[in-house]
Amino acid sequence: MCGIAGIFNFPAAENAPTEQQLTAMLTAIRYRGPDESGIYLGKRIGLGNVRLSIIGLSSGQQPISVRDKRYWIVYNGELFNYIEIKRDLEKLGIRFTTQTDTEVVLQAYAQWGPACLQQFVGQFAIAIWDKEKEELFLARDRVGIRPLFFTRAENQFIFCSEIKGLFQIPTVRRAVNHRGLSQIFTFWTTITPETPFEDVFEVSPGHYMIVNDRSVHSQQYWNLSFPEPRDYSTKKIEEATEELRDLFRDAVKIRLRADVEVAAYLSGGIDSSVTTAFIHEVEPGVLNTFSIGFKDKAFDETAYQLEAAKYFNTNHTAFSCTSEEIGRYFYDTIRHTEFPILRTAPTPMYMLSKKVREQNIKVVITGEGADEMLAGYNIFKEAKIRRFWARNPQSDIRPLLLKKLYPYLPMMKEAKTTVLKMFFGYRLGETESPYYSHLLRWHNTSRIQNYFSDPVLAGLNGYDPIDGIGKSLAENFSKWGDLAKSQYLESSIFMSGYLLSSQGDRMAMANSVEGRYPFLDHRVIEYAAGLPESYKLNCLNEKFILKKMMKGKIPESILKRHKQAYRAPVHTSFTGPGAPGYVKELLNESIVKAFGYFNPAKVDKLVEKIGQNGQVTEMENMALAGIISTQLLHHFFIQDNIFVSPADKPVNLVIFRD
Amino acid sequence: MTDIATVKEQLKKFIVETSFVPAEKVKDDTLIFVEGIFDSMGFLSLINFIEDNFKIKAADSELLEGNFESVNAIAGFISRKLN
Repeated sequence: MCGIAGIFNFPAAENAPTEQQLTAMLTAIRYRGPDESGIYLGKRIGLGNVRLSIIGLSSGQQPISVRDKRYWIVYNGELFNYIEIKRDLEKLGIRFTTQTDTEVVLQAYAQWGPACLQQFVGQFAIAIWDKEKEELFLARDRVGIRPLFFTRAENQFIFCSEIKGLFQIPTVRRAVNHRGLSQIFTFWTTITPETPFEDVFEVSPGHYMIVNDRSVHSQQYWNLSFPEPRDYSTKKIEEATEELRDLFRDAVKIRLRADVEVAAYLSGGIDSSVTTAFIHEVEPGVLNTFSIGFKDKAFDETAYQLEAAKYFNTNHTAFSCTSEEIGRYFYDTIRHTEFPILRTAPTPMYMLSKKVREQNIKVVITGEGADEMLAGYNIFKEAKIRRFWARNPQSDIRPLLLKKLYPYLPMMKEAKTTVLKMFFGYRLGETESPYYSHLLRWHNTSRIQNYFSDPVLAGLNGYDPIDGIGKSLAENFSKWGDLAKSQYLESSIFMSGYLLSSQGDRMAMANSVEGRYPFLDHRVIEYAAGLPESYKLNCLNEKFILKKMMKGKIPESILKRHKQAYRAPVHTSFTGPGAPGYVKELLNESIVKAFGYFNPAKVDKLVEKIGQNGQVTEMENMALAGIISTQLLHHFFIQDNIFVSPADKPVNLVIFRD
Repeated sequence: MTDIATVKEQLKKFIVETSFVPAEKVKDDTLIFVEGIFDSMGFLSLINFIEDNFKIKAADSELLEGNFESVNAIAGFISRKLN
């Protein structure tokens, strides 16, 4: 696991990429690779890497080259099936000089070109320079576990694992993208390849790019895809359960490949219990596990976490955080997310990876992806109930089913039918909409755009991010079943754009910890996608097949418990006596006005209302987090607070010159 | 008019396929909610199925336990609606 950076010169570029430029980019992301670093400099190319060594500890310094120095690679990630691919390449007569997966990736590309990606099981961001063709190849894993951003400035193509790396190059423009902001204030993330910054894009998940003198071309090589309902697997549930079990076991097994210790997170829910159960099965022995709880009991799952730890007899480290700590660490959080966020939930993940790293652990296995692939989220049930209700919109009984979905929301407890109709009745009848499942959530979230300043709103000129979604949908999306559609929207937007990045990679790598996600093995994803909807969401019983598969293998209480969303306190982290000083500063009327994104009077009103100890709504919580994080984004990235000092260098730097 | 035996067969097939219980456990007079074959959430799928398959609409006033407690009860409800 690592961080990468690079610069490609188009013909009109005046100066070759320099050691100073690459060094600055790498220094900005050096926490991604605290063990080693390296730079390759050619006439038209500069590649850089900071390395967190996990496989081939002593032989993995990057960049490396093969085939008489024709191909050069910098690489962030893991190719979990590198042993198998290496064997295939060796049969073709290829000799390897290191024990790393990096060399396998490079040789696979040299051998098969971009088609090599089809064989890769892994999580990666890759940059390969072909000196002979003078061509740069960039690729990102299927669901976007590892990040990769790029921009163009003055005849140079510049890329980096994180945006702050790009901004170290003085010719790169730094401006917040208001459309991107509007997208985040609707979907919680931008729509790929856009980012919150003008002219900064990401390599989209499941895509590769070819950059040469003629063009900058982006090509999709994989997409989450579902069969039409009539083509679902006809296997009996017992058989499907066994097949999923075998597949998942292998997904866990190859994720335990590492030359360092692999640990696991326990959230207290089903998914991380499942991953832990399989780790035990594949590699019996002492397993280190970690969990985070909250002093605020409304959010805390410690009891279940400890129960799981006891059940699996792991060496468990539990710690809990307070609202004050969340408020304090939210500052660092945004330096790392590089995106505004509407919740504080990433911050405890950042604090958790800090604890993990303190115990010298570099790799953790977690349960991300199960809720998307096996339909665990409430939004899937909500859509199903709304469809049911829409068939008889006058019914007072049908909407009562919605009450069961959100027991943790205070306003839902006493909700009567009339209130439910008010909450959930939005565009109830539009069941033909391709986004029916998400219309309500997006609409609710987008209301926080009311806090935008007049100039921002005027600039957006009625822009509605939902209108743009159509372009990013899979080809035959319209033919899929209702659940498949909502799984796709949830995975391709929220999971890739927010969960795996702001709450995933960025929070773990900030402390040099790599997450591994067996549920996001593409073989598991593809298998789950082919199953009938009733195997996943059975009536309103979520993750049905997974629960069936794990009966007797994880604690019964966890198997049966009501699904609880992972959440962290918002307004109590930013207000009250323990509120962090930066919040007061950034919400100060003159600062809000100077930064220009929000309406100072409305922000004042929001802060005042929250301060009055009244009940704070979900929308107000989202608005508060969104406003503070956007202000922080400006503070770090537009004001000059992310530049590295020329005296700073990444660790153990080696330079290769052409 | 749909034959009541056919209605029952269709209902049983649906219940077995949705709940994954063995077919022999779903008899005409099995109390499908009491036996835990369906829970209140399963009710949603059942009503959906009945409405789709038999082209009828269930009003709030008809969403009574007595109408849906068993295959016999559901079949009776459907035939009353169809007639």
